[in-house]
Amino acid sequence: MSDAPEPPPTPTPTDPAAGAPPSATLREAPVPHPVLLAVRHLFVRAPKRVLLDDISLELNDREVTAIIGPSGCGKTTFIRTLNRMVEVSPGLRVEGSVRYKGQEIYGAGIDPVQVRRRIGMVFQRPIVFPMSIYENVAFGLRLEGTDEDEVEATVERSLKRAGLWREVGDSLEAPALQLSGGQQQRLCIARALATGPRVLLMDEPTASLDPVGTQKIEDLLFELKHEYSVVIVTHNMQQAARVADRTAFFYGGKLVEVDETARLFETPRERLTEQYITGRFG
Amino acid sequence: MTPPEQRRDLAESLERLAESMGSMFELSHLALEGALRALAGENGGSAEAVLTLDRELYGLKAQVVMGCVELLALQAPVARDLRVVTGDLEIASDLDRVGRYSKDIVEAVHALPAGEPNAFSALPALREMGTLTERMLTTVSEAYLHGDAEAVRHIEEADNSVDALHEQIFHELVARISDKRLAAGTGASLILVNRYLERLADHAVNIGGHVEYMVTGVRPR
Repeated sequence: MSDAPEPPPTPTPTDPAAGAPPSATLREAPVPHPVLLAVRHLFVRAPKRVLLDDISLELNDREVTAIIGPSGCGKTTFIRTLNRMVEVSPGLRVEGSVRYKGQEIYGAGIDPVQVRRRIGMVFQRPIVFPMSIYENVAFGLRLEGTDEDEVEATVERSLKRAGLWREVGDSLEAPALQLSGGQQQRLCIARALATGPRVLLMDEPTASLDPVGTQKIEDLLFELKHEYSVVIVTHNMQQAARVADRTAFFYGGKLVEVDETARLFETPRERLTEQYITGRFG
Repeated sequence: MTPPEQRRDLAESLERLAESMGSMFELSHLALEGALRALAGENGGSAEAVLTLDRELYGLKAQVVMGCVELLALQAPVARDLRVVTGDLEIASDLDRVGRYSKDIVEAVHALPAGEPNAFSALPALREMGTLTERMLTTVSEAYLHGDAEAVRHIEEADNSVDALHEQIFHELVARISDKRLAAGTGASLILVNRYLERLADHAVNIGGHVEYMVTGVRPR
């Protein structure tokens, strides 16, 4: 899967003396981030039921999008379609389109492993391998045959981005399983970052963590969204309200509503959304 | 789907809040009525009652603010629940001001020299302004209690009428003071009353905007 370089940013005239036309007006409206993942008419069918029913949704670059909804609404299935992890589950059929930077990820000849390099995933419970901290982060790079100098630099960079370097930088050879639950989850984030993704999918990443570990992951999300697009599935609506720029509400395999988070939690358009977020069902 | 009992604690807190707000609306009506009676020269103990009502409204506002803060901290309300809580915070402040201006009117009337005709007789437009303001407060109260955003749609038009009367009365009072038909002290008190009634109508407009926001999610301008 190719990852075409992005066009250079359009210069923004800020100083009239530096050549901006005197008639130029300041743009007040926020400029939306470009769409990184575009989902169109997505269906996922199990042998006897429809898990996702005609989902169309755009996920923007450098934004956090939260997916909320009651258990079984299809939110986990949805994010697993975004990097073809859904194909790991036998018997599921995917129809529709998922485009990453305009390129169809389910297209003929597209290698799912390459898709997952660009669109990484962090699971509900930290999946830590019984090896050192260093080797856990280096794992994906080793599979790609990356040379050792680059592996070393990438491990350090990834641990720094995951906010873990200060805690483990001097004990990289220690067994990763000795880390706390919160540290293990940030280690998994570092491992996902090491392969150079642009999108991070997080499936209830704080479900197994205590409040301190949860706070660290939420703080980390604010940092990560400067460089990545993040999609987070959460049962915790307050978490969605705290961390997400946009929030999508799923119910019964359908996308009921998606909007800016503040708007969705203040003035939802759909009655079903209002009932769910006010805790009046589900 | 299960019924709303799932968040019983939230529902009970919102009910308590609604009761306090209902009391605030009722007492603010009584305060304004007392102030208008004082302007009509029908005192009969209503002045003292207005001073008490002002203190009661202040206490209720503090109770509403505490209730809202507790709700926000413990229940994390969203959607309409959130709009009700934030709207109540604003409206409680407006109703507290209704109590305060009613008290100020009563005090201004008290400062008028004895033996002169009552303010409404001296300035019939002031009676019209008081009637309009009272009607505006009734409109927004009912809109609040029934969750009816449509009812407050024309509240700004009523306020424009009050503003026009305020302007007219102000010029009339300045003219009377200038050509010595009115003592400066009396004129100053009536100018203040004129101003207080105009502000009362503004608070009714504010309340109308908050009701519209609570019901529809559209923020007041």
